[in-house]
Amino acid sequence: MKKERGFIGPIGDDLPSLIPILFALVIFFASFTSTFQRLDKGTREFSNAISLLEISDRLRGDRYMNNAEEFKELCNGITNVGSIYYKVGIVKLPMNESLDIVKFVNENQGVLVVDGEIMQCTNMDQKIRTDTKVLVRKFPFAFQDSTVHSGFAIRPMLLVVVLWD
Amino acid sequence: MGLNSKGQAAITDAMFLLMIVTGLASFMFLVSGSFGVNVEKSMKSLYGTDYAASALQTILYSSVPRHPNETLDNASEVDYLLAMVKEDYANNPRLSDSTKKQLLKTISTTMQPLSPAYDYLFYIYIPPQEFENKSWIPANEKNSFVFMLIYAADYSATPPRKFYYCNPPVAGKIVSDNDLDRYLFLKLGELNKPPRVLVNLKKLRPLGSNRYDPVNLRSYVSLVFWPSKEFPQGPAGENLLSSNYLNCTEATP
Repeated sequence: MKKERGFIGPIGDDLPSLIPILFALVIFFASFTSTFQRLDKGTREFSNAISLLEISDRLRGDRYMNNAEEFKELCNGITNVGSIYYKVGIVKLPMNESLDIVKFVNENQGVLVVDGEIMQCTNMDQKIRTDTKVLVRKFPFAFQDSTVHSGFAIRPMLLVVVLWD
Repeated sequence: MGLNSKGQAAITDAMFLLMIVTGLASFMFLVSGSFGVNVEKSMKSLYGTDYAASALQTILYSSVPRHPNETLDNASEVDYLLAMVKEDYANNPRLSDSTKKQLLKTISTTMQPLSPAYDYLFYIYIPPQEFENKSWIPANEKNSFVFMLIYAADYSATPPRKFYYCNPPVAGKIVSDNDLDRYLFLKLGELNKPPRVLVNLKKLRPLGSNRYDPVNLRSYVSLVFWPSKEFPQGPAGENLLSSNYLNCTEATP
């Protein structure tokens, strides 16, 4: 049988072309997976940001709060938050020290107390860690304070909304 | 010879496939890397504007003690800050020191959460056309800027960030909010500027025999803040806080 140089066989000749094809497949699947993971992470972050906006908007209202009962009613109206956790609190202004979000969530640092009641609400009793990724929104608003000597004063307060999953 | 060519053709096809897939993968990485960046920027910007709007409303709703030496907690009598400003402006050519101090206290308290990283400007402004056909108001009282407070940075000074009361002169270089845009806001870059709030101030028009007629002056209250940076300079390197421009003096809360 006459042997031709460089000829392996009908299939053998195609074997070297498998190498770039394999590379192409690996690159394709790796980039597809990476893109999918990034998009998924981004979508989840947007979903959390939207939840934060919804909770903040509901609590902020018209930026004026008549009393502590109104705050409790607004807290009770927070529903359909899905699998995320939140903590909302009213912080008295001016603050004596800068607000530490971890201490705010875990120890109610700086949170206003009215008639012995801490002005905060949450759907999670466990503490967060310093490396927990949280989203925070703060808004000033006017709070009607009836505990002052004159009987009535409207003072600036800070509404702090913290969200994590 | 023909069979050798078939093998080469297969490798070439495979190389083309590799090139196309690499190009598409690069494109996918590019798109996924920029996913949501613009939305995140918009959300941050909206949050800033929202905070400023909340701060402005909070300041205007706030109460202050009637007597400047008292605090809200121990004051025997309190008043709305806006009512105090309106009363003071109606009766006097300029706001008194005690009213300015109350404004400073309330504004600095409300903006305290942002003050470590942001500078801001609060002003009460009467458009110049409101003073037309009101010759009974003396010319030196037709100042469009009823009140202006700036929290600004000068990193060559100690402390580097201070409060200033500003009173731009009537015949100076900054007489309207367009001038503020031109000399200041355009140089500050990224700004958080909510819609202005309309407020009706009054001036008492003398009718003789100790009688007065309160005349409305339509005015606007505005709050603008920006990431803290060295306060910009005028067109020829002048200090904008100087008497030719904003005419500012240091204020202590």
